[in-house]
This record gives sequence, structure tokens and C-alpha cells, in this order.
Amino acid sequence: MVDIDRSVKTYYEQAQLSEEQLQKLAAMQDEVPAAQQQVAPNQWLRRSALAVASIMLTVMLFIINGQDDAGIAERVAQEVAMNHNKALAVEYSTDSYDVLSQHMDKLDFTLRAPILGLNDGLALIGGRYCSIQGELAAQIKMVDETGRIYTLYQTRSNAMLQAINNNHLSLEQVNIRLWREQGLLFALAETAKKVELN
Amino acid sequence: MSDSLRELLNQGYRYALSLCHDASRADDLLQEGWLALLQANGPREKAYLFRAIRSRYLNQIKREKLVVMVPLEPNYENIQNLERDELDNLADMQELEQALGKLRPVEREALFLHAAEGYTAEEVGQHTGQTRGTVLSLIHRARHKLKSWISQQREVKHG
Repeated sequence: MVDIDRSVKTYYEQAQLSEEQLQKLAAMQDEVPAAQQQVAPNQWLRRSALAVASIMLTVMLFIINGQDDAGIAERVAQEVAMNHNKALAVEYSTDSYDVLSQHMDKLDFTLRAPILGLNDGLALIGGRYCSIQGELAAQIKMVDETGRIYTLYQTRSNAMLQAINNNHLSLEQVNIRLWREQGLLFALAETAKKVELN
Repeated sequence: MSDSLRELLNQGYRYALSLCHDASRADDLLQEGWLALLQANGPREKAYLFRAIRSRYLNQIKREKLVVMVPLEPNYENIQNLERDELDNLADMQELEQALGKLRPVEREALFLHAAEGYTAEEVGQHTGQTRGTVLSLIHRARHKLKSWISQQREVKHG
């Protein structure tokens, strides 16, 4: 091995997750429901037929009932809750959506203040890139007059995310509100208030 | 937590770091890749985790081409030998970190998989969908860039 390779190896070996990060990731094993089971080779045809039938049934349900997909909403909420709890610093500090949008030029949509579903009195602190279900998204940090931190997520509402309608969920001590407007999916996350026991 | 799980997650983190060269973004990538693997009930194995992380990274930078055209160069087989007169005493990790930040993601990824993970160029190519020749060229360019950048910095520092 050449010297520079050895140095690169040493550099990356020094990069370690913290104990807290490791525990959090390990805990996800128990929290995340598996979407599918391993399929034995001799069962693939039957499983495939069932899968096709299941997809057709799901599509029909969507068409007939226009139902929200609770599964995708929950997955998005789970991702949002985890990102909110990580409380990562913003990459771009600003109090203006226009300025933030100019900085975050890798997004294929323009960041905007949501019209629906947002309380007045939330001030923009800044934002950073993140992703929601693999879709490039903006994580926008905001604060209210009491200093309480909120994170707002915006991403383009693709075919999968279109299934999400207005939704309120609580996961990992985070209250999450999901909604769509102006062709974008919005998610607002705030840490649930603790109940004081007297 | 088992040692194997701890090692797997750290390997995933390092791979994500090799792609984005940013600790908090690497943490995000690992988390998203790990979540996808769990949701798909995929095997808790390095190859699958790396694939999930890479897929998420590609989604994030879908507007920046990760796949690059690398012109053909002769004597790929001799690249290993050409690199043997590398810089001595390349132990300054801060210097190396800055130099790694100057590489393109594809170069950093190829060098990481080869140098840190011990994959052959053939295996790196299988993982990244590139030919062995392209991988060897990326590794060569990465080493050359690191060496040049560090040399320049040392010249500036020491006059």
C-alpha cells in the first residue's frame, strides 16, 4: 500500500460515530417496521402475483376513495421527527425566504413562506439541505417569541408524496403537521411540551 | 449493541463521509440509508448499506453529475508502481482533510473504497458501475491531487 493510501485509511478510521449516534441508529432497528420479508426463491412467482394484485388494489382504492396513504405520511413524519431531534445547525443564516432560496440553489423549486398551517409570529433563522424519502428538501429553522424552535420542511410533492393530505402525527416526542400547498409538501415539527407531574 | 453492528454503522458513516466530506451531512446520509435498509428488511451488511447510502447521495445531488467521463490513459497496470515515491510523513490529518475536500466526490469515493476499505479496482467498479480502468484512473488522479495540494501547502508554509 502506498503512503498516501495509508494516510487516507488512517484519516477515515479516525472518523467515528459518537456513542449517542450509535445508540440512536441501533434503536431504529426496533422502531422501524420492515416493509417486506425476505422472499424464498421458489415462492417468487406467487409473491409477485400477490404484489401485483396488491398494487392494483391500492391504486383502485386511491382512485375510488381518494384516500390518504397513512404509510407514506408516517414514514415522512418519522424522518422529519428524527431530523428535528438532531437539531443540526443551519448552513445558511437569514431571516428571508428569498435570500435562503438564493443560497439553496440546488433545490428545483423556490422556497416560500407557507400560506396555510403556520402560526404567525414564527421568525426564520435559516436553513440547510436535507432529504425527505430521497427527495431533496429544505429544512428551515424557525423560532417563536418564547424561543421555542420549530423546523419546517419543504420539498417538491412528487408522485409518492402526492398521497399525503393534511395530517397531524406525534412521533419521538415531536408533533408533526403535514400539508401540501402550491405544489410543495410542507412539514412542521415542534418538540412536544412536557407534562409536569406535581 | 454488538461489535459487528457498531462496526457496520461506523463503516457506513465513513463511506458517507467519503462521498460528501461533511460530518453532519454524512450523519444524515447514514441515517437515511440505514432507515431505508431497515424498512426494506434488507440484510444488515456493508454492501447493502453502502448501496443505500450511495443511492440517497445521488438523489441529493441529482443535478450534479457524479458519473464522470475520464479520458483513457495508458499503463493503468503500472499506476500502483508510479505512486511509490509518495510524500513521506503524510501524517498531518488536518492537512489531509483539507486536501480530501479538494477532490471530486467520485475521486474521494474511489480512493476511500480502495485505500480504506481494501476493495480492488474491480470491486469498486462493480459497486459504482464504472469500468476497472475508470476506477484506476480516479484513484490515480485522487492520489496525484492530494500529493500536489499538500506539496503546495507545505511550500507556502515553509517558504
